[in-house]
Amino acid sequence: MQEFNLYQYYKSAKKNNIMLYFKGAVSQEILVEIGLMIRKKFSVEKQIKKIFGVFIELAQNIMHYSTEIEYSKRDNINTGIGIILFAETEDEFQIIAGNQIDNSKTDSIISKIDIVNSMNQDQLKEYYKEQLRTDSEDLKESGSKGAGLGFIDMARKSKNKIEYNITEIEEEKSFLELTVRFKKENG
Amino acid sequence: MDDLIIEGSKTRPYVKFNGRTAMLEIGGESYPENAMEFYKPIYDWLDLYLLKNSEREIIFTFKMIYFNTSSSKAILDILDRLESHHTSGGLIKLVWLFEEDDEDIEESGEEFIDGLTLNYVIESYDD
Repeated sequence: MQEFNLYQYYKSAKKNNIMLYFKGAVSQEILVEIGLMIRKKFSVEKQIKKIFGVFIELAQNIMHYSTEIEYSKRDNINTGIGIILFAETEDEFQIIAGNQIDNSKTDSIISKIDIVNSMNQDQLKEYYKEQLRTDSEDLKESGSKGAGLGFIDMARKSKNKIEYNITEIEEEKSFLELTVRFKKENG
Repeated sequence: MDDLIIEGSKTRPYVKFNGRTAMLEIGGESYPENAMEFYKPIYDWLDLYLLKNSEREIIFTFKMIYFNTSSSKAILDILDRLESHHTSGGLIKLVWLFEEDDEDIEESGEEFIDGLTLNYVIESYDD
């Protein structure tokens, strides 16, 4: 723990308006508690259900797709490890999620997000309907949980592009960072 | 056929399938850890029920508050079953309820139903 400076960490979080964050295995219990906390804390916010929805998609992405895994003996399941932050500035809310991925997945994630980011709201609506059908069939064949739908949903709910950043950690692993922003309504 | 009753939780919808009255309802929150695992017994019950009840009218109600993207696939799978019952001559009425002013749930209902030929209503309710 020698290199970890809690005060620096605190200062940085404060400076970036981070309201809450979690780092660790994103289990269903953790996700439910943080989700309900956000829903309660921002219950007067008009977009709260959309913000909550994006939080759930991001957190479940970590849970299912992070390649850094914690095994729970009690529940006999693997849970993805990652970090998720929730920030509020004067004019927006931000949800930022990060986790490890295999480098072999990088291209497909980037291309899924780029497609979503290239579309306007009407196109996203059509694309969602289309992917809902496609993913349904994929699901039966490959057992994929269909992250494509998640990205479309986040772009629709936030009415924003999904920002991503990928940092190569080592030869086979990278760190994927996703940011979704919500503009506050009426300033 | 026995009823299918599942109590809702923070992350799982309630299920009230009354076999005798043919009133089937799902509602609440849906973001379970594994949507397919949760919805499997619902499909199984429904498949058998539809098979056994080709003559009478079945009223299927959705009263969702929030569902994640994996649950939206599960909902679509239910609608596909209802639609196929309808196209093979069964009587289905679909009721999609949304809380007043909840445009997301209203719009998702419209999206799900778009392209289906069964009878439906999309209605708001006051909480």
